[in-house]
Parts: sequence; C-alpha cells; structure tokens
Amino acid sequence: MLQTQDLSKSYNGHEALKALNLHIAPGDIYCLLGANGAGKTTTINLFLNFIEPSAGRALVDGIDVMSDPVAARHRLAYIPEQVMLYRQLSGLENLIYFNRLAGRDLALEAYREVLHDCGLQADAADRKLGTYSKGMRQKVGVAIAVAKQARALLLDEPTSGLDPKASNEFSQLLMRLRDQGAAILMATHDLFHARQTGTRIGIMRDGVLRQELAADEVSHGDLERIYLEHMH
Amino acid sequence: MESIGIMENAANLSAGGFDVVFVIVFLMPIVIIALMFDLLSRERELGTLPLVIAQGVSLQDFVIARVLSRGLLVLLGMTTAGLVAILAVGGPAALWPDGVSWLLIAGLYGAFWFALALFVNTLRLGSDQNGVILASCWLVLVIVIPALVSLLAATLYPAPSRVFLTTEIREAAAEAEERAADAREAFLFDHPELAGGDEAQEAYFRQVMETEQDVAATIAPLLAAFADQSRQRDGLVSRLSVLSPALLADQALMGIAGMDASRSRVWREAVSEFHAAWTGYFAERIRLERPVTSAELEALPVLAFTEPADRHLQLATGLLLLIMSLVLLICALFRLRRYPIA
Repeated sequence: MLQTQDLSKSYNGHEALKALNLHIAPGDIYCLLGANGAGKTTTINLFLNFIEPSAGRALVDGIDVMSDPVAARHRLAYIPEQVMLYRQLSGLENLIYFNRLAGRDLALEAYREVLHDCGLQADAADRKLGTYSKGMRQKVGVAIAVAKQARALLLDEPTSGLDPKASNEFSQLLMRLRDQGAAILMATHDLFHARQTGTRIGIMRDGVLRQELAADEVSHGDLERIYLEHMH
Repeated sequence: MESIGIMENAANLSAGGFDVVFVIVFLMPIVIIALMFDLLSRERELGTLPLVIAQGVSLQDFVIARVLSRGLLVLLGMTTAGLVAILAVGGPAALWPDGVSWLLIAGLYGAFWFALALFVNTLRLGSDQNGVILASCWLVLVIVIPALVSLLAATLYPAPSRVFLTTEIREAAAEAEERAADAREAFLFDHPELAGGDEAQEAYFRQVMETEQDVAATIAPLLAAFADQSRQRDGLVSRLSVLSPALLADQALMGIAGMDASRSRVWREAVSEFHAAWTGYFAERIRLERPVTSAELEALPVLAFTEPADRHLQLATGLLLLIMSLVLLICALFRLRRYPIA
C-alpha cells in the first residue's frame, strides 16, 4: 500500500534521506523512530509530494506520487504534529469543510459520531476552534483522517503534546483502523507508544534506515537499548 | 484621469467625478485587493495549507476555486452597479451592444486585478507584505501613472488659457465694433441724406453682421490652435494609456458611455460647421439683400453629427486587458507548481 524505492532527498548538498526502501502493507502500523533530523518528516512529506525526491520513488497503492500526486493524496490521510485548523470555524465545521475538500460528504449526525469516536466531547463540537486545547485540535485532525476513510495514513508525531489518556485513546483508534485494513506510517519519538501500537518499527538516523524490528518480537527494554545504540 | 477629461466632460462639470466609472476604475480594485491580498499567504500563516492539500486537491484547483468564489462576489456587485447605471441612463435599448461592451471591459479590468493579486500571493511573502505591494500597485497604476501621463500631456501640449481666449474674443469684438463705428460714421459723413431712414437701419444691421464675421475671423486661428492642442493632447494620452490598465479601462468605459474627449471633439466640430453654414447662409442673403423664400426654408442648413466609429478602440482595450490578465495568471499558475506546501 505504501512503498518507497531507493527514495532519497537532498537539500543543498545535505542528504536528508538516503535510498529508503519501505513496504507497508494493509493492516500494518509502521513506526519510524529517530531523533530530530533523522528523515522521518522528510519521508512523510515525500509521500505527500509536498517536496520532490532527489532520487527514487514513493508509491501509494501503486501510484507514483510524483506522476499523480492528487490521486495519491486521495488515498492518503495525514495527521501532522500540529493540527492547524480554521480558528473561526467550529470543530464540526472544520471536519465538514476538510471532508468536502476530499470530495466526500456525510450526514451531520455521522460527522458528530466521527468526532465522538475520536474522543471529542459532544458539547465541544460546535465551539469555535479558538477555544480548543492542542489535544482537542489533534482529535479533530484525527476525525478528519477517519472521516476520509483513506486506505493509508501518514502520521507525523501525532501524539506529541497529548496527555496520557488522550494518547492511549489515540492508540486504540489507530489499532481499530489497522484492523479495518489501513496501512499506517507513523513518525514518532515515543518508544513506548511505538512498541505498544506498531506492528513494525524502523529506526532512522541521518537519513538512513538503520534497523527494522517486529514490534511483538521485542520488549520495551530491548527496543530502548537498540534505539540508544543507534543514536550513539 | 479626471484632470485629463474633466475640461471636456460636461457631465463631470455638472455632477462631479463620482460616477459609476469612478466606482469601477478606482474603487473596484480596492475591493478586490481587500478580498485577495491574503488568499494563499493566510493559509500558510495559519498552517492549514498542508492539511488542505493532503485532502487530495491540487494547489492550483484550490486557489482557482477561491479566486472564482471571490470573483463571483465582485462580478455580482459590478454587474448590478453597471446594469442599474445603463438602464437608468439608456433604458433596455442601451444593453446591446454598448451595455454588454461596458460590462465586458469592466469585467476584464477586474480580472486584471484578480490576476495581479494572485500573482503577488505566489511570491511567498506574508499577508501584510502582500497588502503593501498590492496597495502600492493600486497607487502607481490608478493614481501615479495617470497623473504623470496627464502632466506630460499638459506639458507637451499645453492648452491655451481659457481666460486668454475670452480676453482675445472681447478685444477682437471691441476692435471690430470700433472699426464698424468708424466706417458707419464715414458712410453717414459721405451720405448725410440717409441718416435716420430705413436704409440707415439696414446698413446698421449689415454692419453688425460684418462685425460678427470680423470677430469670428479674428479668433478663428486661436480656436483652431486650441482644438489642435486638445487633439494632440488626447492622442498622446490615448497612446500612453497602455501604461496603466486603469487608464485603458477609464478611456474605454468613457468611450462606450459617449463621454470621451474624442466624441466631444467630433461633436464640437459638427456644431462649428453647422454654425458656419448657418451664419454663412444668411450672411450671403443679407449681403445680396435677397430675402429667404418659403421654398428655400426647406434647404436651411441642418446640424449633422455622426457618432465616431471607434469600436476598434474598445476591442483593443479589451484585448490588452485580457492579455495582461492572462500573462499574470499564467505566471501565477507556473509559480504555484513550485509553491512550498510544507
């Protein structure tokens, strides 16, 4: 579903990503771990065609994102680290607007249900976004991704800034989407969350994928040790 | 622009410069700038652009949809204002072809400002910088360039002073009357038997006519110089109007409404010709002492005014505005292809 073939990206001579090869099948949650500047966000931006690769290809459902970025994005949902929405609209109105941009529409009650499923309190749905906390904005961002019913999800540190309860609820939601057959690529710093939620874990450093692990074959302690070994 | 046309424009002299053309040429760009200056920059500043584009719309489609939604608002306001003005002045008969041409030129002028604002948005600057750039463009294109063109035209082809013209007419009349009085005095000195009779009265009226003709002949070169300067000034302004879409639109809209300088000049020339023909017709009969017969009344000179056929000017203006808008639009769309999302 999500695939890269020798995907590379350079900025002014600096190689941010070096010949990355990934394959994320439906039902996979692939967690990319790494320090800042490891190439995690670059990988996601390349999948979205927000930036162009220096070499290699990124494929979504077999579609080369360079040759048909719009078709590729139709099959993707994206949750950035900071979900930025329209402050003058309510959470519900933001959800409706973004879903219609994606060419989809639902009944009003269905939109409320999606927001509720994503953990947003019912009385908050009609409030202006300017009154929301970061966690609430993040939930609306998740709701936008869920309502799109995309077959692949790209998550860029989605739990950053969320409280433990909200983070746990988010993990539960991801696992539900995984069970429904979504292919998920998640960039994160959170080792615990990666091991708890992911099916596979990739450790990146300096634009290189150093090691891949199956999440159920490694303990939290081992994961932490392996990660730190790669960081030194 | 007012300084160029106001001396020729009777409607402006009576009602002032605030008309529907002023609204279109001066105020419509301000509305468009207010609607457009942060079209894309605001999305970037809010951080909503990546999420918007990730939904599966191309940046070009997203931007064009936003421009069209705003354009529709302006088009609605402009068409309403234009239709009200056209119907109020000329009734339904004025709708075709003049009304449609008028709306088309106004629409293309609006399209130019939309395209310019879109292009500025693709420069990847902040909303405040976009606002400053667009406000400066408005100032330069709508105020500064027309003012400079007007100044240049007035400097190169200064119009003779109207005060000077009035004084010259008065002096010429006074001199002609003095000459006529001297001639009459000499005539009566030679023919004292004719003083006080009907013949003396007729001679007096002939003298009045000759005086008027004398005055007209004296001031004719002055009037011709005045008309020539005016023609050259208008020609220069017309040629330089390509420097500013506002000047182009103003001239074309005024032309369609029949309030432009060239139509006014054609009208004045027709009136002058009629005046000369009318006075000449009667002067000849007075000189020959031949009364007008009832049959000759049918052949009295009539005022003949033919509307100047300058549709090509409006067509050229429309084409120029279209080309300017398209060039800006193509540049903007090209820049959007490389616009950074993340």
